[in-house]
Order: sequence, then C-alpha cells, then structure tokens
Amino acid sequence: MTAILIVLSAGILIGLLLVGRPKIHQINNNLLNCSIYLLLFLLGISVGTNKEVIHNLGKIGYEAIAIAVASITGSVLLSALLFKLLFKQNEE
Amino acid sequence: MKSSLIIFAFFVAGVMAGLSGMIPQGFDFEKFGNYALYLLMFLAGISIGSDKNSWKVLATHNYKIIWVPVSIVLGTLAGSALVALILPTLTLRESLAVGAGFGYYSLSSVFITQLHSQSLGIVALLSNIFREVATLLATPILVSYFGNLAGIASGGATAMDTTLPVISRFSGKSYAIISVFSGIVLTILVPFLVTFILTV
Repeated sequence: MTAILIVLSAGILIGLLLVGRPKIHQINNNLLNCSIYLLLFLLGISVGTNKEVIHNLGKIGYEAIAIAVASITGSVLLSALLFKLLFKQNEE
Repeated sequence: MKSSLIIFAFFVAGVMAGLSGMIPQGFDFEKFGNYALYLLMFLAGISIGSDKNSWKVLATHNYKIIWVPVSIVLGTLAGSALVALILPTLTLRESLAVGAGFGYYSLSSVFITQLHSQSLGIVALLSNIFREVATLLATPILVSYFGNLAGIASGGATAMDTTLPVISRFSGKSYAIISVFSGIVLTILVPFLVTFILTV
C-alpha cells in the first residue's frame, strides 16, 4: 500500500507541472482507460484460473453477491443523505 | 454506459482466458497485476494533479470529508447485517466480516481465511471483487441518481486506486481527493475491523 501511495503522489506532482496542457490531458486520459481495461482483464484471469473459486461459484456465489449488493446499497443510500446534507450546497 | 460495457467485456475476456487454460502455468498475474495497478495509479495521479479543481475540494469541504468514510462503514455494516437476517446460511459475524472488506478483496480474503475458514475466505474474495466490478460498472448510473458521493461509497476501499479513475470521471475531479481520502481510511480500517468482528 505504501508503494501505491508513493506512485500516486509522484503522479500528482508530475501532474502539477502539467496544469493547463489540454493535449497532454487527453493523452493521459486515453492511457488511463487502457490501464483500466488491462487491470480488469487481469482480474478476470485471476478469477478464471482459481479452481477453488470456479468450483464453488454456484454454492458460494449467491452469498457473495448478496453481501456485496447489500453493502453497496447501504453505503450508497447513506452517502446520498450525506451528499444532500453537507455537500450539495457547495456545487455551483 | 458504453465505457462500463467495454470494461465488463475486458473482465469477461479475462475470465474466459483464465478458464480456457491458455494462460501459461508460470504466469504470475498477481505480480503483473501489481505493475498494472502502479501504472494506473501513476496516470490517475497525473490526471488529478494537472487539474486545478482537484485542490478546491479541500478548501470547500474541509472537515466534512471525514463523514464520507464514516457513512460508508455504517451503510456497509447495516447492509451486511440485513443479509445475515435473510440468508440462513450466514451468521451475523460472518456476514459483517465479509462486508468489512470494503472491496479490498486480497487482504480481507486472506484475513478471513486465516481467522475463520477457507470457504468464508472465498465468499470474501468473490463478494469484494464483485463490489469493485459493480462499482466500475455502475458508478455512472449511481452518481446520476444518488449524487457525487455514490461512486465513492460503492467503491469503499477501492476508491483510492482501482475505481478512482471511474469515480473521478463521473463525479468530477474535485471529488477525486475525497475518493482517495475515503479509500485510504477504509483500507487502513479493513484489517482492524475484520479482526475485531471475527474475534470479539
């Protein structure tokens, strides 16, 4: 995790030097999209090659999905309330 | 929506590739995935740093941003507790422990495997991967219906890295700082909270 934060900070520092360069922003955003695709592809491989996960998918899958959906729903609903109470007035 | 579908297509292609056995045995995707994540973080950093609006958020929101991770913890645990009430196969403790991964699947699944059982570890892995993938796919829709914090809330701990680019794209770059802050707080919380839930 420390390494990730260092890489992120390095990116932000370099980004600060590039303020107001729209062409570089465009290139950077395209690269960003490509790296998201790569990461998701790798995540897919890690699920596909894990035999234990694949074999138990049906049995375990519904519990996993239920907890994920309920977690997302709970936190999104609370965050919507928070957004209305504290954040919305700062939006122009 | 189009970008979500492209992302999903890449994920499905990865699962297929993994299932087909065409991935060489020695291929260390974890290591490779780590490098890909570093690249992603670096590019996301450039994108945040080069945008002046990113820094406005700290001045305009200041102390309020602490409420973001707090609301995510409470919302996640409330939702997970509800699942334990509905599904007879899960105890409250098990369900809360899986939820407390906040999308941080690698760490939470290892912790839960060690502290509880292999099978709950796999539930944690799948559930938290699903939380990450669902956030990548649904953030555009969630933000338009539930406001600019919705993607951050859905992403949980992943809001600081893997889901950050999607969040900053659909909530606006000024929310990227809140996203990183909330993700860091939740990431740090995961090992403590999972241990607390399973051992107390």
